[in-house]
Amino acid sequence: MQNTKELPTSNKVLVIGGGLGGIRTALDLAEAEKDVILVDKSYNIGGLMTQLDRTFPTNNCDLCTLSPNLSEGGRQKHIELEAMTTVTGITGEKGNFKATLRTEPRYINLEKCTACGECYKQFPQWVRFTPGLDHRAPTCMRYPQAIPQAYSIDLAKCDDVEALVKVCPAGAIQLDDIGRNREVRCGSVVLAMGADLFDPSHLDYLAYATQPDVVTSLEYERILSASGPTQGQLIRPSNKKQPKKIAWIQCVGSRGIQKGAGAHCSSACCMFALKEAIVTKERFGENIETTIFYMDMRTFGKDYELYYQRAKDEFGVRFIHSRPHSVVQEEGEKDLKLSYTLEGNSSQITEEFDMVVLATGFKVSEESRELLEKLGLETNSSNFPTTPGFNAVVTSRPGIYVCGTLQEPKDIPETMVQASAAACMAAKDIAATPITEDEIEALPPERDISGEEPRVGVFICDCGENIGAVADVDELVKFAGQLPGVVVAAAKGHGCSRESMEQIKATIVEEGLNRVVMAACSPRTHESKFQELIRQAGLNKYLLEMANIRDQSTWVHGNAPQAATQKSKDLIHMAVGAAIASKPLSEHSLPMNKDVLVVGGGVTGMTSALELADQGFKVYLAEKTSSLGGVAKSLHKTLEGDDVTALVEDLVSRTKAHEKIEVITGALIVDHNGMPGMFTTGMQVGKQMFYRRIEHGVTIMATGALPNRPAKYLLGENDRVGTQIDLQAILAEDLQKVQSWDNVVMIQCVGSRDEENPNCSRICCQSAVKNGLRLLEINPDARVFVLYRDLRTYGFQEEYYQKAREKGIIFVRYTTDNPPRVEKSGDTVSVGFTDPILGMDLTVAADYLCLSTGLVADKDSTEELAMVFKLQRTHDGYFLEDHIKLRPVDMAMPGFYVAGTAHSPKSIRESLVQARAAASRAQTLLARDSINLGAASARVDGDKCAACLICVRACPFDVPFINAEGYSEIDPAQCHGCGLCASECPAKAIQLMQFEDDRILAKIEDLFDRLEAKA
Amino acid sequence: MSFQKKLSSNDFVVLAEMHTPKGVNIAGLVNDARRIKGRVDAIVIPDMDNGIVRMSALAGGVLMRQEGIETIIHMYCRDRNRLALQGDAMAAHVLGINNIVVVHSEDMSQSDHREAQTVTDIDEVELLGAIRSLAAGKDMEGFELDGIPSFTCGCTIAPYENQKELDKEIDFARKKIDAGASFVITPPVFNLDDFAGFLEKVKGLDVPIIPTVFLIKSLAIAQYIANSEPGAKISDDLIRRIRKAPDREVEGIKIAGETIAAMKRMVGGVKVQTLGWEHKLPDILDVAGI
Repeated sequence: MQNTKELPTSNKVLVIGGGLGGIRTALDLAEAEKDVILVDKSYNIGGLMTQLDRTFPTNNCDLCTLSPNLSEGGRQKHIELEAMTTVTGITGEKGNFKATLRTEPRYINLEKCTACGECYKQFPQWVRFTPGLDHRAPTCMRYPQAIPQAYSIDLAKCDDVEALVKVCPAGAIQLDDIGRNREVRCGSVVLAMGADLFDPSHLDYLAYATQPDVVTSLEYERILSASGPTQGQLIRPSNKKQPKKIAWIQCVGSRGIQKGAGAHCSSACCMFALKEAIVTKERFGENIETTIFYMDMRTFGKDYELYYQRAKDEFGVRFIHSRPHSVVQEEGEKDLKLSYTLEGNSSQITEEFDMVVLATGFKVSEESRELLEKLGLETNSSNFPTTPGFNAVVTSRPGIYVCGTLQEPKDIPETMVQASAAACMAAKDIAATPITEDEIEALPPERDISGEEPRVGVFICDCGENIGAVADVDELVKFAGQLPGVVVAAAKGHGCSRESMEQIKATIVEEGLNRVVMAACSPRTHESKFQELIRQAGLNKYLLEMANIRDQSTWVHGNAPQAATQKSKDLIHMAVGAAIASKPLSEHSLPMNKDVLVVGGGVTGMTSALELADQGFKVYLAEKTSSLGGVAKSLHKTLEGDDVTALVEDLVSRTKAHEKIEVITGALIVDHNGMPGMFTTGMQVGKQMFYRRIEHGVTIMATGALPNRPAKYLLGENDRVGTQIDLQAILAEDLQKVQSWDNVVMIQCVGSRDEENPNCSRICCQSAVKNGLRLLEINPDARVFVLYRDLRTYGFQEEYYQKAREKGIIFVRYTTDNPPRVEKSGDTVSVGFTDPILGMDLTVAADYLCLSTGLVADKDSTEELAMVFKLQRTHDGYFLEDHIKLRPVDMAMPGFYVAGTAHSPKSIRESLVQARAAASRAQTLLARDSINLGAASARVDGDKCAACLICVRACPFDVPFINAEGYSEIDPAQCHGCGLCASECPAKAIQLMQFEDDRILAKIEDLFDRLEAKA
Repeated sequence: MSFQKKLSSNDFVVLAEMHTPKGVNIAGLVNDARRIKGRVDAIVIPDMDNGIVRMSALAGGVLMRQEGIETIIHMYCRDRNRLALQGDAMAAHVLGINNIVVVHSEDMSQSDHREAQTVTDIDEVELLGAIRSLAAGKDMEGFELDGIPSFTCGCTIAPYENQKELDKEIDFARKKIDAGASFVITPPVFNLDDFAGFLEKVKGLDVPIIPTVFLIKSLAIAQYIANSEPGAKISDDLIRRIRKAPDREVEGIKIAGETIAAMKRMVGGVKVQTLGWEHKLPDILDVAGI
């Protein structure tokens, strides 16, 4: 698993931190053939996310979505993994760093440990395993799928060393381990150490230190988690009974509220609390009351607003806009008393809850702070490393990059995006080192099985509780063992664990098996892994058949164990039949086209194009309008003061001058076909609509979004009413006008968070703060009112919001049932609204009314591109990524990546991060030299073919032709394996390999076997 | 019946436009042409009049002749002087191409070779006059030819933005007809009501009018034309029809086919323009009932 080769050069990237971000960075680099050292201070990689129960907004359990990423991490040849390791210093400069690493002793030899768990069973106190609320020990095997797959020993607690050493059947426990110090050279460094959560112990009024029923949101997460200390039972720590009334208190340790809190907003806690409240309702019944005490609900991410609305409307989560004053438990009482006040009412309310969850925010850990200081990096007031406005992964020291929550508090998808962007930047400082032939594990020759009787091995997983808790695995083994052709049937626990895989491999060789059935999980996630396994055992990989007894049986029939066992038997029976009918197949491959098509020439598309072109790839940049620059052309400065105009000019001139970029303006895309690595896209170009075809290997969608201009509040009717973009232009160009204004009113959420456009546009709160501050710079006497619903200045933007309040901008909350009232009044615009604190209606005669209208998807354009490229979109017209949490840049169609506002509304800074992430993801595919077409291709039986031409006409790719011998011929290298010809052929002369009729029929026959027997 | 005979007997002629490749891979051109052989009266081969460098129309025309398909090639004045133009016309005749349409050309600023020199030695009227002169046995200078070519010539009405521009184009077309053009090809027609008005205006030209029927491939294309060419008069209804269609590709083919069918009652022929999707021509002709 670990690559021990020691490269003398500095041609590798050091990634510090093995959480989600660090893993993604390392994988991106490794897939692009770059060498990586991944270090993590913990016993296993995985970081914070492995402790979460479910993730928003899909409420999926995340372990099974994360663990394939982790096992990828273990398998990668370019990654050297150093667990229990910290970096003590880095000297040198970009391209030539020297880092000193300290590895703590694990007392377990990783090469020998099989993670059997015997030591932990016998001596749980000395072996690190249980995470979370359990205070016995920090974690080692923090969760069942951990990497490295090994335990670790807490020697300080062990009082019988000999007994412990003896208990290990593999002899892996080695007590003379003293750890080690080493020095490594690297070309660039990515910091991905993540963040710590705020510790509320010192805040007496929240009673966290004294009341067991006051927990942090992460602790609550562990209580909900099936792999947590309570095995997924929701119980109060104080009395082990299910709570009936739970309160969440937001912004603990964020927004500068409490002693020791950072000035920033922690961005993810609102969604975190929503998710916990929803999951609580979903899993533990309607009778649990859930209440969230909040300051502003900041659900600004993609589709997050909908999640918020669902929490409110569907799940009945109660929201109270208030910051509770205190949490106390009176003598002799069991409940926690929470006191708070409501807006416009000074009397204090006291309400009883039996659990209180503190939504604790992110902060930079002490260890990270020390390392940042040692590295000499500039940091902000909350100790986060500072980064330039238009490249959020670059630190103040060249060659050192940052991503994830160490850069700024953020959620999982944004961490994934930034991790890929960091990989893109770090990759530029080093060269690729393709794996040479002799480094690839030599595979044994494929055994010729022709003429052999079928010898099938059936291996059945229990997948922990997933299968084992529902179906009777022993019975399945017995059943499989008596099926014709089966010579081995065995239960394999977690079939995908390293240990089981080794056993299966040995069994195949020893028993001379020539077919394998895995009765396990989904072929979608695990087929390639098992195919690889049987290939290593000398079998053609297409001699594997999978019976998905987890997804198709035990998961869906969890409440009917007997029926699930019977269905699993049927599935296994069918799979055995199909396996017997399977034949060895050969795969075809074609050379990879390494050119790139970027669709959209805004700042995002240009950035992706430049990053890829700088790496030597030819890029076609197709822009539908006649010039580059997109929406950013109409912007001037960002909230942080960075110059957008200069950015656009710089990108346009570099893009146009780059010899590897061909800019195609006036390009309307009309057709597309092919597969990843060999796409062809047709477009009409320019006024004369010249039809042009581009051949490319990957596609990046960076088509942007449109500034919204809804016909609301006199927009378009009155020249004193405009949008934030309009106001920005006035602030840049007409200072005199600005100086003449007395009152300016801004209304937030115009055309967002409503029925037509239910999502939050994300960028408008920061635009309001930005333009408000700029306005006061020009005209300090003006009065600026911002009418808002929730002010969503997430992350470091919070500090600008505080500054705006200090400067005297008046922020007034409104609700949708009492929106502002706008009418023309002489030379001004009259804006009426209710001040909730004063409880009074006010009217302002505004010299300018600025509407925060945000962005909407360019629906016509995304709809058509989605049709042409066969991509998916969200209900509101943005492109849909493959996985909302873990693959936010990849699209479901392989070879397609999405970046910028085509994905969802976001700032320029955020768009550019995603642009670089898309470039990094694209490079993982572009690093390949050939495309594996698989074995699924159509084959013609010349004897049966009547040359009727039906296949020639049916084929969408014009592949079949009638050859000199007078029958249809299909070139397997050109066949896409769609199967159309096979289904149309009247003579049944065409078979699609891997899906041959006899294989499918064998399945069906075996299924009906039982039914016939019954009848 | 030949194109020329059909034209003079006022039969409905169907022309299909096919571009030569940018490069020398002629497989697509030849395959697409074979698919519609016998279903159209001639294939129109544009030259580089749109400013994009590609294989010349003369070679494209010859390929069509080799396939046994009648052809009409474009000639225009931006890139060649009177010597080159006359030479090409005679070459065309010798190679079996007797149909020429003299077309307007894009300004060089729209070209993919923006630094190229514009020639425009003679204009479209003079070119038509020169061709007529060749057919009468003399070149432009009056020198006699050894062997006399024959041609059927047409001209175009260039895209126009408003009525004033159209009036100018019609005046210009009249001059071209006087100089020898025996048919007129119009810009793409997207709106039959508007086209009826157009026909009223050009009635006086007294030669067959052959409107261009353009295959709309996508909503974006329709919107682009609606925005950039007000003279095309794309209606909101048409845009709506495309937007709502479950399969826009099929809808575009239907619209083109229906337009051709409607033209049969109005004019003497059509030219179908598919700009890159020549493989869809059979489907369009199916819808049109041709």
